[in-house]
Amino acid sequence: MSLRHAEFLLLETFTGIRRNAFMSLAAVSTITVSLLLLGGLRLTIANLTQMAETLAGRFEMRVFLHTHLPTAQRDSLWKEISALPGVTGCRLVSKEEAWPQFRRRLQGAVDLTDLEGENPLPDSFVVRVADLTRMGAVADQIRRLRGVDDVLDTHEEAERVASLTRAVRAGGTLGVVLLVAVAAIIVGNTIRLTVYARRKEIGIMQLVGATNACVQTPFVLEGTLHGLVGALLALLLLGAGYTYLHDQIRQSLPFLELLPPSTSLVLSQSSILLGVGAGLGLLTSALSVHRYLRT
Amino acid sequence: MIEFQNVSVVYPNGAQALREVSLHIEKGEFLFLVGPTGTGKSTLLKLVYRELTPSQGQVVVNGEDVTRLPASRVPYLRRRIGVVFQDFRLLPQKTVYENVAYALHVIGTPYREIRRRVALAIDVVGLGRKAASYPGQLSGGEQQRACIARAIVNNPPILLADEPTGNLDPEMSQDIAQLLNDIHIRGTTVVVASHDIAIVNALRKRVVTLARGRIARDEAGGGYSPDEPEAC
Repeated sequence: MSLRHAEFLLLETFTGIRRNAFMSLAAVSTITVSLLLLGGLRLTIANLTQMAETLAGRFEMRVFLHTHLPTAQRDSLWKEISALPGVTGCRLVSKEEAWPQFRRRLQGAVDLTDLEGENPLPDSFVVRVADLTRMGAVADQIRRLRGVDDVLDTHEEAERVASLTRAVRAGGTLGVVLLVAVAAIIVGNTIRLTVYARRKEIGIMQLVGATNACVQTPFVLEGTLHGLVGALLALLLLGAGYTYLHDQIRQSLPFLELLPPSTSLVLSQSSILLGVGAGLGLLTSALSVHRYLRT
Repeated sequence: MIEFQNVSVVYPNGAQALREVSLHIEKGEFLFLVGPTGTGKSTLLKLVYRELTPSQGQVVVNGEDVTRLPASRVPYLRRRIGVVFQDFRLLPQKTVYENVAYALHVIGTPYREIRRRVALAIDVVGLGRKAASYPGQLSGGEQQRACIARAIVNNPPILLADEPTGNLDPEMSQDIAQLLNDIHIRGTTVVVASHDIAIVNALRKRVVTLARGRIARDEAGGGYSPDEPEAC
């Protein structure tokens, strides 16, 4: 294709968009709305997953040792627990460390003066596991170790959170797949309509000796451009909306830790939306024009 | 220049449009195809610019058997044939100038050359003042002139016209017929399908009468009257 030809095809594309402004507007706004939904869903899922993961990270178990356990045995227990499969962290909370916390917590509620400075607390470990569903099993293993008095584990709650995380992930993936399919159908139909409205032109172009590529290229460029512009608009709206919402929630519900509107979030959203928009625009316009090419 | 050898066309619905038609059209000839509607005039023209392929027989245009032309070569065939339609078939979103220029753009003509040739073609058909108008803003006669300008802008050796005056009033029809004749005088082979008695009789050219898909008469300098017996 010569430079002159490329220039003509580009000009044709822009003239086509300008003179069919209403159809272009309809196509772009439809694409914007469906991609906005897709982006919104992805943001929601990302936040839910993030929340579930933060929550899961907070689950840990407390392993209490027998009081007056010798330091050497305590250290070997620490090594043993740390080496258990699935354990990601084991931190010692010595009784000296625990005592002031304990007193502070009970201040005023219980009279501790009759202890006369004696520390009744045992040493303990704070243990974290990688997989919340295995917390119960790990706790049982630890219980059987010598020197361990009791294990306070939260495996039931932990398992509930873990299955919730799984459900959010699975439902989210399904939702994204469905919405991509819906977006594909809507975008495809809109672009097909813009081509359908001009199907007679395609026949005329062929009659005056335009090659198929010559007829097809402006339509395909137009469709791709519609997809890209629609995706850009969706991104802008999504970005503005999310930043606003994030600020609002941080002020009124500070315990909800939303993902900050960071560069990586913007990148992941824009790659998907621009990809889906432009890809669908290109594919559906090419297919639609192809239908009306008679030779 | 155009040669039909034993050409038959059967449409997918079973209707037989042409039956073993053989016809030879010389370079530089002006020929009218006449006959009532549905006798195969349009079909014959469509075979020339490969809108259709025959069920049987050969169509040779410029020494090339167009029935065997691969689809990718069809655009190049059409660049050497100008076609004028009863319903004009102008691109509605383009001005007269752009419609005429489009035919040159698709063959990669340089811009300066396009400006010169489009201006010339529009001048030949007498539409100079309407060059910036859209088809919807033109009368039927003006749209037909635009269509003719588009058909001849590329200086094709062959010009086909399918009922070019079918949508026009008699006065306008005479002008269009005269325009087609002027183009013929410049050396173009012109084939006009028409049942407009007035223009056929006015120009006194070779007249080929079709009846039920066959050639019923072939007369040089002939006239046409619809009550002639439709010989088979």
